[in-house]
Amino acid sequence: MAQAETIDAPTQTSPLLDVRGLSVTLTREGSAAALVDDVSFSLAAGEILCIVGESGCGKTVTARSIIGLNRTDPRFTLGGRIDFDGTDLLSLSETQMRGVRGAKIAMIFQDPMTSLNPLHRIGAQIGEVLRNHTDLGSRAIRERTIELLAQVGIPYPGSRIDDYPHQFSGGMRQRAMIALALACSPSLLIADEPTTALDVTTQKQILSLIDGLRHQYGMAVVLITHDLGVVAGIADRVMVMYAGQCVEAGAVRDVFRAPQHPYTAGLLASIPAANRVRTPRLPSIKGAPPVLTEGRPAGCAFRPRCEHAFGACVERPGLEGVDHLHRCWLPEAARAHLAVEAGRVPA
Amino acid sequence: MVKYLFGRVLGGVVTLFLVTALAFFATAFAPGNPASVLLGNMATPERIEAITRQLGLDQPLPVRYGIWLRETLLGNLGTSNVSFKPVNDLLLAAAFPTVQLALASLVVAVVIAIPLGLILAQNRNSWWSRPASGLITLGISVPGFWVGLMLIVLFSVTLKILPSGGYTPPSKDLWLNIRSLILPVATLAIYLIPSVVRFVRVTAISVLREDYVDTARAKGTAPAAILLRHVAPNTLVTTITYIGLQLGVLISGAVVVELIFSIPGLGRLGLNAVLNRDYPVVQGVVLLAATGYVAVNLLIDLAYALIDPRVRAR
Repeated sequence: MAQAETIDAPTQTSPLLDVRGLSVTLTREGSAAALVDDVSFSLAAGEILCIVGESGCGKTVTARSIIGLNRTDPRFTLGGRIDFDGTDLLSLSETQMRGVRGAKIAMIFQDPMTSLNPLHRIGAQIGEVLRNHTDLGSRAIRERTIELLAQVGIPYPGSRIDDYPHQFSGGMRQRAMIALALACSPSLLIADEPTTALDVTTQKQILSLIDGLRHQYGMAVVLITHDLGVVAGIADRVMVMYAGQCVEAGAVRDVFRAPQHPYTAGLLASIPAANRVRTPRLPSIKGAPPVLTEGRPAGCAFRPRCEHAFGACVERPGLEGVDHLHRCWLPEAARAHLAVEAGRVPA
Repeated sequence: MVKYLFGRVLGGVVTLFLVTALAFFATAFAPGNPASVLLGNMATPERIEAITRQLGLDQPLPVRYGIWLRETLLGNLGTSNVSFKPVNDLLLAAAFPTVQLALASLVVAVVIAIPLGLILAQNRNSWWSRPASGLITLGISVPGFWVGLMLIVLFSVTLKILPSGGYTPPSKDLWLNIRSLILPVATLAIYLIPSVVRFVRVTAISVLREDYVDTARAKGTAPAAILLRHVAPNTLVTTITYIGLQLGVLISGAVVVELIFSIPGLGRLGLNAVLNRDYPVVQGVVLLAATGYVAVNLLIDLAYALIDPRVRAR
């Protein structure tokens, strides 16, 4: 079972990141909620994996667990393994983990307006990473920072380095955050909805910047998004999360062509893309995902919202498949029809 | 930046003008005639009338205010109705002990309260966090005069190591001056510390939830460095404003402390003047206290601009 619950990266060598049976439990006022439930995936060097799903399905919690932002919070309990470069990150001490953060694994956040300290100059905030992880002197740090700012497309980096965040636009701040993340050439970048807070034209620029830099730096990227258009444009692999679990995972091409889970089909149907079969109204998935702190639905968590739910769905489905994984009780013929529902093939 | 400071200075001047008006009219409308208080047992209708004329109290109010305002702007606050000494001299003599007391208490309070609040915020999840917060709430509810009296009982009466009151100017004997201020400063600082600690703690906890603290953690920065480099400055921005507002508490606290420890400061001068209906002195004390309040808050606005680049940009 544990063997099946993975999306293995299509490489012969051991993957860069290998998450096995990750669970994250939030305990608050005596009640515990599984925010992430037995999630496994792996990622090879240089690959982009997109984690998609609606808000509150555990994408961000998964990402923050990898870089260990919630490990010192007493309300969170983490289980499973997160093997990175051959080491289980969950077994590291907090001090050892600090040596990984910023150096080997970097993270950029959703809102560039709030993720930079308003009181420090941009240059000082980027320099802080270099000071944490390298022996560079202050002049070398400054030179490297200017180089990084130039690399992420900040004009006049030699003078903008001394600006404060409020002198930068939203797009420029996210570029500065990317420069900060790149400072120590990490092998894994976690980007938590890096474009959600930006306007559409800036979104495209930031995404192509990330894509370009991963080729240049050869770094793997875990990109969290709820925009399947982004997934189609940038990702190698995709993992669809629902209620803290992986419900479908595989190569982007496979998942988009033949979604195997009604939730994925629903998400695909709701993209207002030009190349899909037109319907008079943009379809949407009825209802809202369960609030995990208030309890998970028994059986398949998607059952209350699923138009295909039948008797078997009261049991909890397992993750099935080899390269293209899904967690659904529907028989193969019914799952094959989901592509039509998703608007990927004419009815 | 210039525009920001200009606005602040203008605001301060307007505040001061309003305070002068308030100080003047509040005393003018207060019941009781200064002349009869002054004469006491010797009061006869003729004498009262003579003194009233001598003090200029027979003039219409707007005229009296105009004269007072003009003289005040020229730096002349008049003479005391009781001691007939110039108010300027009385204020000058009383201001020094008060400023010394208030500044020392403020510095002691801030130096203790800010690190304490930050440490409490950093350790908000540890087992001693709740009892410590309870202790602070208790500290806020304890009246300042009670602390002062308890300190006198302990250090002056029981241990006999510190004077129970009085004041020696530093020009006379610096050591005695310091000794005479230890208990008053402790009283006032203990009075101020709990509320500042609570404010710093609450502010720092909300700063710790800011996204840029996550960014700092994702950089691999150590918790102590995050606290000092990222949390403390951002907490300070709002805390200095709060301390500016606490100045009123400090001034009223100083009055109580001066009475308990019989320090010849502005608080005692003002209180005695109120009891004697010595209006020129009352007005002088109010004006001086208000000027101090406005001046310190201007300094705080300046400090605010020094810490926060967004304010400088205005």
